[in-house]
Amino acid sequence: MPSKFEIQSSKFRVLTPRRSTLLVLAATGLVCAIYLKLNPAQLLSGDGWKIASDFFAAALNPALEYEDGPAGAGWDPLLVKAAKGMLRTFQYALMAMSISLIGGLIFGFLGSHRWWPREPGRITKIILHTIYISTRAVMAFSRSIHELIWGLLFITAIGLSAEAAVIAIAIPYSGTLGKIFSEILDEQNPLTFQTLRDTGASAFSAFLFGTVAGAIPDLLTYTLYRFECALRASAVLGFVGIETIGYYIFASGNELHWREVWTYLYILIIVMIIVDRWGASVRRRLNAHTAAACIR
Amino acid sequence: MKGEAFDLSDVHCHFQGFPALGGVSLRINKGERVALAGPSGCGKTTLLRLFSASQASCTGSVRVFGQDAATMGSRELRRHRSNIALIPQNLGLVTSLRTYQNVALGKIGKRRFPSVLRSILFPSKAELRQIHHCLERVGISEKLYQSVATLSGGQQQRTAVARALFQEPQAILADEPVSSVDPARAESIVALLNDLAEEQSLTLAVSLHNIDLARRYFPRIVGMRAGKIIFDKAPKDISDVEFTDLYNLSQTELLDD
Repeated sequence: MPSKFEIQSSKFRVLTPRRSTLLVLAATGLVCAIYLKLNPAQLLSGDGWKIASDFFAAALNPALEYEDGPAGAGWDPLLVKAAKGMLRTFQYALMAMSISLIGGLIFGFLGSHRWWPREPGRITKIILHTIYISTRAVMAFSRSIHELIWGLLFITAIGLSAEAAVIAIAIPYSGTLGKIFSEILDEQNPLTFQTLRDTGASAFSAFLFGTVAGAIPDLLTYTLYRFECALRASAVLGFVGIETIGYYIFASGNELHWREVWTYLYILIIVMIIVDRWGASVRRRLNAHTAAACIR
Repeated sequence: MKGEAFDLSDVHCHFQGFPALGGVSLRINKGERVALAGPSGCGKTTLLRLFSASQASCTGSVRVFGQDAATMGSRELRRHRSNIALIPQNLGLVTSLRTYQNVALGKIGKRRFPSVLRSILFPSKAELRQIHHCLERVGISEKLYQSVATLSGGQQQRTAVARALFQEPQAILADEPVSSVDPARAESIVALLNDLAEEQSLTLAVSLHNIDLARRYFPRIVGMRAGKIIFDKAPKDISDVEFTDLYNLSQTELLDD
């Protein structure tokens, strides 16, 4: 029991742990800004202001035709080109996610310890830990390199191709899905697994029908969210030369054709919104029963 | 029906230094219906898990349907477990699955992997009828296709009982089956378990806080406290003093829990 005096004095302490942490963070931010010579005025100097206002003015007036005049023979009109680019962006994302889902499930299983026997022998224990640690290491490696850098690596190795784009997204995404999947599996109630074991199920059956089956709503929710991320990643891969909608945004931007840029951006935004709404409706249906359980 | 279902002699169990059972000897015959009564932490759950061969005993011998649990290999243990339905206190339902799927999981220990997968994903008409029958028996047949998470506590309890029925066990063991429902529902669950056991001549062991229910429904009551059996009698032979003593916890016991 603290005495009355101690309670009083703690009230007037100036440097509580929280305050000192905030102070250190603020000081670090300031030092970084000075070191990088950040100057907000720089944003508006030179052509900055004009380019920015041109860019945002074009938002109200997206292009329906090429700004250099109508397309020549053998060229798709702007809107067809944009739609095709968006479709390709979608296809890359879908293919990459299909591969990542398989990779993520394998990683997620190997990186989880929910299926481990309760009292493993010495040798089994060593094997299990080796699997666990090497899986964690592979997952950490694959996702600590950004998909853009994987993209550059594969483009250098096998050239500008669909395979390079798909693999570039699939590698880090397998790692991320695997990490989250293994955590979801480990967070599942161990008593479901135990109950099935007590009913005579093998460890494998109990894991699949107890733990994995129980985790399906969470696994699916996270996969849908990652699909949205994959769409964005697929678009961004255009900036290193893969022919997605990002490639067209980059090319039109280089020529200061801001109205074309906005056409592409709007199509990307619309598709992102549709995917987001669809994901939300799936989540709502999945979680409807969970919500009902909470009300009860 | 002759012979013993469960036979424990001088069993001691410790979990992380905490004594769960301190020298328990108990014999339950096939077809008997027994209530285990006593305050929480007295070793009832451990006892039920020993009966279902889910828990390795620490010392002493545990015989389950005539066989020494200590000598069973993992295959034999699984076979024994598949013949004994243990309904844990938390029920152990997979809440993301539907009711019929949870009931189908009752046979998970009796079947090979592909046929379990089939009964979860594409159950045959005959099997659905069988599951429907089990749900009908516990009074919630209309919930066949409902997600278990949307069921009330009482309905989830009945789902767990239906799962135990579908398992076609020789014994049903229920750990505090009435802890999460109101008194009227508690009574109906206890009555249901007794009816089912009598109907199919199953061995029934139920751990109960509610001494009144134990007294009215079970021909034999085992009173436990601090890992030891205090009495083991028919309800009419148990004096009120014995009952009050069972729950008359000392100050240290109250703080321990």
